[in-house]
Amino acid sequence: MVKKEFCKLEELEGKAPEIFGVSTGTKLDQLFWKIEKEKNKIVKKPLGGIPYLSVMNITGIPDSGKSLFAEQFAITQANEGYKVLFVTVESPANFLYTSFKTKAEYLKVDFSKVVNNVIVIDASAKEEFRENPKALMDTMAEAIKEYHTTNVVIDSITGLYEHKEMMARQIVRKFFNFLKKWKQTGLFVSQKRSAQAAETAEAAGGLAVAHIVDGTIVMDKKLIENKWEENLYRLPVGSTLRTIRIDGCRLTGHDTKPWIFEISPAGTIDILTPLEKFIRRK
Amino acid sequence: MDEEKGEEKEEKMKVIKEPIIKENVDELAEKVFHECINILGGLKKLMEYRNLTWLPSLAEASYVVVLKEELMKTNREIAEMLGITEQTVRNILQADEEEVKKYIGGEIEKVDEHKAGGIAKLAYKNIKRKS
Repeated sequence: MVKKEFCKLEELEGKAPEIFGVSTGTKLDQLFWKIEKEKNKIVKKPLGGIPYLSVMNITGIPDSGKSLFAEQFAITQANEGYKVLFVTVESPANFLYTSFKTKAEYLKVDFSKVVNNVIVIDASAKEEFRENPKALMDTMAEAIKEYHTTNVVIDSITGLYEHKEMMARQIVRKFFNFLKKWKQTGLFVSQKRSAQAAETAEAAGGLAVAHIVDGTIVMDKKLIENKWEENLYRLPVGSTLRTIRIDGCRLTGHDTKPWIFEISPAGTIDILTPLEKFIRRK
Repeated sequence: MDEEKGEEKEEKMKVIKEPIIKENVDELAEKVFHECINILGGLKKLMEYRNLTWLPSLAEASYVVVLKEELMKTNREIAEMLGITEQTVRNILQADEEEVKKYIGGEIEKVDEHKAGGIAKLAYKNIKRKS
């Protein structure tokens, strides 16, 4: 018998996921929102995180804070008691351990919860993980089943198609579908190439990643280089201005402004104020 | 005693360092190959119609489809791995499986597509649908 490949919209009612936020441990949680009806009025309410079951892409130039954001998300979720599968393609697992420990201490998070709830796949050392997406996905599936994870971080997805960017679309699509199949909320970290504008959603592989995923978060940094910028931002020449912006999200409404953020000495992200307010500050 | 000295026990994070592979590429390519034979009505039918010479092409096409779909290899990588030309890889991957389906079903008499490629793509889809 041929399986029915179509359905009426009303048949999806029971299958539609509930919309709520999965906390990143940053102010970004307040920048996603949902619309609700209250006493015949439409009201906008903060979601409290990235949308549940979404797959979000974080892109930015080197040293813009992408990995730090991804790690903070993992620590926050682990601290809330949710299991996180962290696929590290760039940083070896032992370095990741140290980074998690420092951040957990700074954020006053019980590190034993992080240790218990974060499961790491170390793809940085083993070439087969990076060269054979099937091997990585089989391993991820086993880890998801065994540890009942609800969140997945891949840092970075770019590392899985480093020397064959023409395959970016197929590879990202496979991992995106994989996370949807296994009902995971996901973060893909993706790197920018030097020719790509820093403030856009474009990343290695072109716009392939941004088009496939549910939304993109762009992280950027700007070095204050001249007197004009010094006057505009009121920061001394040589200082760094960091911004974060939700470039798009197809699942929920969101703020579109660039926000200023700082990186703490322990490597945690602290989102402060919209860029426009920062410029107008007294 | 260690505890009195206040020594901390280093907490261990769960780290997976080796891939857990449920099914390797060779096994999957074999499955696709067998499904190709099923699509064609079984080995006996192939023999009766003197079409056994199709088997090497079907084996080759099965590998090409699996390497592309599962390992995301580029056409050049597949060509190098299997010792065939990039053009053959392209022909297999670009084969219109619906046209080939009509051909093997007797709906059309002639098809310009890579027949083994079309059959292998149909077989791969069948296997994925079943799993």
